[in-house]
Amino acid sequence: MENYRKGKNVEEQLEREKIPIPGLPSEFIWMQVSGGSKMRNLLGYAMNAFQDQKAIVWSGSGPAVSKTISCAEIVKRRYKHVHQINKICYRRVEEYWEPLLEDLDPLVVVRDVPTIHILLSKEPLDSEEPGYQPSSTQRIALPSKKVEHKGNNQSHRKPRTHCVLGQFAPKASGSSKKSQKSVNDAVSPKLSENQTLDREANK
Amino acid sequence: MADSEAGGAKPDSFIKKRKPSSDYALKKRVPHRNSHRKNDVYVTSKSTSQSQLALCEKLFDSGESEIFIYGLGSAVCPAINIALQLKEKYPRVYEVSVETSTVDIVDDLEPLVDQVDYETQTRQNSAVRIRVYRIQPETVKS
Repeated sequence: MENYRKGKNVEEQLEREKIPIPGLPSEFIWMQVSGGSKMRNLLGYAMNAFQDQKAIVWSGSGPAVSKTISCAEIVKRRYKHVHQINKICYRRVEEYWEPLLEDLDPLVVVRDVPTIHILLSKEPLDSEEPGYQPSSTQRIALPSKKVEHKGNNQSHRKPRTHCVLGQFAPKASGSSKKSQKSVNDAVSPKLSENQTLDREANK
Repeated sequence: MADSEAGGAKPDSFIKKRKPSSDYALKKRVPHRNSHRKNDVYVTSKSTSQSQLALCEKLFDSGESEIFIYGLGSAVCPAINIALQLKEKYPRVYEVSVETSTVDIVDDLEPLVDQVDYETQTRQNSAVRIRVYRIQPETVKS
């Protein structure tokens, strides 16, 4: 391979319609993560945009798979009651190598690169679908957030339930050494996305 | 899969911190493995994909109906690759179901100078657990 020099890479274009997740909503934010993407930039945009939208899809291939998963996990920390579907597939990449010597032909290397697509949705998703993952709050049976004063049995949900999963206590935000303003602002909890946990009973 | 969020919800903890200062030597501790059943396959960046693939096939041949492939950090990509290879090699026989999570990793910081003491540092990394299971083939598998 010393006689060749890297030419261009042609990656199979990912298209919105071809994402292998069934039941995609008509409108979603599509975040494509590549190897050189900065997580700060990705998350800064995604956290804000996800406030208004119902679904977000993270896609990444090859070396960006780990970064894609990290981004999705961070979004999940902020928006706790999201449903998740993960899909893995291959993505075809053609590498064109140009010869350095005159009498060699240009080379095309076809590679299949593993790709992951992660759908995070505020609406409930099909739980029978392979790759479905409930939010971590739903795995543990928590009392419903709706406080119904039917009798004296219903105990108030204590904020402790949030602390079990992530120390989102506001006092934690002051201690960061490196303050990344755009992302740290997202850490403070926004409990306005209240979704009842009645779905746990429906499963 | 260890799905703990106890390390604090700081997004910048996903960005790996190198040793905080040159007074320490960083020693990574082996990450915790939750389950050690026969059908658990842990993929590391040092293991070769071919051997792991052969291991998975052997597990299925010995009668397992499902196997779990775990990958952490830079081994996520090889783990996904192995699962997809299984699916491609035996079409319509296996189905994959992927779960993502966050794992706390602890590093030991050993002092290189006398002034400082032993410390630990907790990082977080993303991990994947892939369940590969046999689905009922409509025809005899080729």
